[in-house]
Amino acid sequence: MTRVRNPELLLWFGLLAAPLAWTVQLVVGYGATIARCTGTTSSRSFSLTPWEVALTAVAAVVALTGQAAALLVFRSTRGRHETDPPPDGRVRFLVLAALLSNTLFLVVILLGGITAAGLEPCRQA
Amino acid sequence: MTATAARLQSSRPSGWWGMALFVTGEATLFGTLFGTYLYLRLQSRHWPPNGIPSPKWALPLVLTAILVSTSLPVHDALASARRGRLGRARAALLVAACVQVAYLVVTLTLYDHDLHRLEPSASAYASIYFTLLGAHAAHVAAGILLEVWLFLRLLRGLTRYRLVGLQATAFYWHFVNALAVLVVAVQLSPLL
Repeated sequence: MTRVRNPELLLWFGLLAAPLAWTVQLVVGYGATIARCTGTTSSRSFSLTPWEVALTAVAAVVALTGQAAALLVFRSTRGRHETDPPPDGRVRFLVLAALLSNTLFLVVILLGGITAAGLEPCRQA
Repeated sequence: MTATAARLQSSRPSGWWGMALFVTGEATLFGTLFGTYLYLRLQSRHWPPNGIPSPKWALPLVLTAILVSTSLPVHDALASARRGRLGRARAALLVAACVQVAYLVVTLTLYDHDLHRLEPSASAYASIYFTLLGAHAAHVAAGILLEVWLFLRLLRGLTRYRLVGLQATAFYWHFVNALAVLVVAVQLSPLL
């Protein structure tokens, strides 16, 4: 069994890092698009694609770091079960949820980034 | 009792944390719906669009007040179950479920009435209006099913598993009722 120094902190980082990274990617990306498409002539001169790619890369790295933290806690709680009394059961349950949600959020971050970078900016359907 | 033992005893079970994660996901869903509503509203010159009457306020407010009041019997059911008063817990759960079913029936009747005078595809306002109200009604229906399931389980006695289920369901209901207040506020916002 792997021993980790601060499992609670790692657990919460593993659980919250990916959803927060996705939220920041969505809100900042939305703000950059609004600035690009509704702003002054000078704001229309910058290209959105490098911003979207950088934002997606940072969000994906944060999500992957969260997944690594969740994996460390998962390994350190091997042998415990989610139906065990708290706090062991809670930690085991939440780390399983973190492993699943991090995977989903990583896919969402990548798909969102690819779509935002690939679409023609400032054009409504 | 030591501080550690007290902390362990007051720790929430995994079932409660599962519901907390679910509620967080649902809060995100409604956050995006509220955001969409505000975005569409800010992009439109007329809200609701010309030809669509403003929403009526009296009935939605009364219905929301009735729904929110069911947090009391749900809370009472949980408190009674914790004290081992199973009969009172069942009765409180049944009262809450009956009021919530009445709320849902009236809400769906109003929804059907609105569908006859306004098509969801007619405008962005109609689309987000029906999506928001429909999503909330679906959450109320899910909560009622949870309560009925718990009521049937409690007829066979109280176990730790069922108590955790009741705790998670009570959490869910308080969330749905908080959502009801936000949904009706957004629904009636054109009147402000």
